[in-house]
Amino acid sequence: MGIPASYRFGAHHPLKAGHLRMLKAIVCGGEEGKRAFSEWEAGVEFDEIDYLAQLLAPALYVAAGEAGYDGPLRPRLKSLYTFFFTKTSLLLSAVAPVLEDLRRQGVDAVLLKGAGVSAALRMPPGRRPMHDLDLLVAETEGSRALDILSACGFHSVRATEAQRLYWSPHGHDCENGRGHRIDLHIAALYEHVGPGFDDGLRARTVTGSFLGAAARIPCPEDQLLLACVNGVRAPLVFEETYPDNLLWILDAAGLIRGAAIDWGLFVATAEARGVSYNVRYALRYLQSVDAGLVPTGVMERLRDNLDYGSFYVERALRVHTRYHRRRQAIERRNARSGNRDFSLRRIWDRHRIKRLDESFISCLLSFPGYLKLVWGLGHFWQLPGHALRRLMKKMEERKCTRSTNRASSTR
Amino acid sequence: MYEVNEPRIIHEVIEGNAVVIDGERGLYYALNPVGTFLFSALAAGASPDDVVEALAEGGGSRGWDAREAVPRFLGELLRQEILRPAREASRTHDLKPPAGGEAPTLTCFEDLQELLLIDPIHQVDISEGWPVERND
Repeated sequence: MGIPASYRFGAHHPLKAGHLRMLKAIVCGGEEGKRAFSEWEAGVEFDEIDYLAQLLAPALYVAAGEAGYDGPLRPRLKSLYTFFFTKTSLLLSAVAPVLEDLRRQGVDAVLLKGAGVSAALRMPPGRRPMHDLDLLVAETEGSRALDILSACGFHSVRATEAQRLYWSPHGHDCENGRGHRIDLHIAALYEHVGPGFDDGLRARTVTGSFLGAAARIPCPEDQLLLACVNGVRAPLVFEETYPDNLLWILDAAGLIRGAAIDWGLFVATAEARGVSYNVRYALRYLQSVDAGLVPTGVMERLRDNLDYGSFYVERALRVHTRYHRRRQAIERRNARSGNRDFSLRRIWDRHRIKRLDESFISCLLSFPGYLKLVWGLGHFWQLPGHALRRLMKKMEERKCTRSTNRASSTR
Repeated sequence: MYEVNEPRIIHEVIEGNAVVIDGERGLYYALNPVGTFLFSALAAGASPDDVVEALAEGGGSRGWDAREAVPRFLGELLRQEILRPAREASRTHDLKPPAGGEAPTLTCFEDLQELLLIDPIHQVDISEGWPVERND
């Protein structure tokens, strides 16, 4: 069984031109930034920009404003800025009581990813859109922290421990029913789960300011490492061919510019955590945006090939598990039959693929509702009658086909 | 003296106009430039009298009475629980009101969850931006 090209190690997927111009306009500044912005402005079809570009728009709005831009796209960028400011603010006000409760009850939580970078760089909410809040607690405090989250209305989205281990072995994804999420990490990285793995990170934490209160955040080197490894997970670990988010590039650039990074510590930590290859892969993206971000010699100290250890085994298992085989089989069947096929089997396939992360029983229980929707029925009690009518119609069709075939063979 | 009712209230000044989010009640407030000045000054520890004085010194022709508008606007900010009496005294010294301008206004958009369904690219008035929906 060969590994598809997009899964092969070292297959680097360069940034799309539009994304690269936006990133350069934000990160580079000066003449290079202005040139990138002009090129982006000249080539962009604003109504068509994808979600990754939309997430970059707030930072571009700020950068363009600082550069004195007052062109036709300014109000459109402002619209996105206000939108993401509002969305992020709602998330922040929903999670603020949780942070307060964790603090009050003595749970030592470290802010990771967007929240950690925002706290370190003191960014306003609009500048750095966030979809969730990432918190790291010690594994021993995980269940206590979960209880506190639960008391604040945040419950795990995974129904079983098996599902949690499959989707996020390094933490618990929690939601409050209004779409606000907290990722409660018991390990900072998906790639690196185990007892004591985050001791160094926890020992090196510094104090930042978040939502008007002091908060513990990783030191700049650890934040940079997390940004890099999380940023390239989609192309490196999953079957994606492109990063699923580009904000990490802004985070990384902000951290490098905002603090004196100890690159020796950074490289040593990456090596110790076994993510040296991932970091090198990520730094190539940073270099493509601004070559000056990564000092000379850093790349050479990072691995240029993956150590085929647990990472490879884990990835290979994940990619080729039954889940993916099943998913692909269903997708193939769906592609063959098309969306207009309303047979029970195809409807079940479509329902199952939407809920592959749920248990079979839960999927089965929600199926009548889905079936009612697809068949356009008003009530559940109409289902058996409708199914019977469809079955009889199908038998009738088969009978007609058989007699037609018999007639044509007799002729 | 007053302060912002944090962390429930999150605010930011975008191009001279403050945007205030009440996360608990799901409300979105847009302030005009004079409203933004009053909100920022009061939140920074200025007294209503300081603000009235600054507006009088700022000059410019105003078709409204600051002595009447400032307490009314402050009352509205307190009623909406955007500001609260300060726990610690702080004082701002640099009050620069906008020249001229209309009387302070506080526009409330209710039901933020509904507002967030408005596509910020395709469904908004291009000059006003989100959350003002396009008319057609």
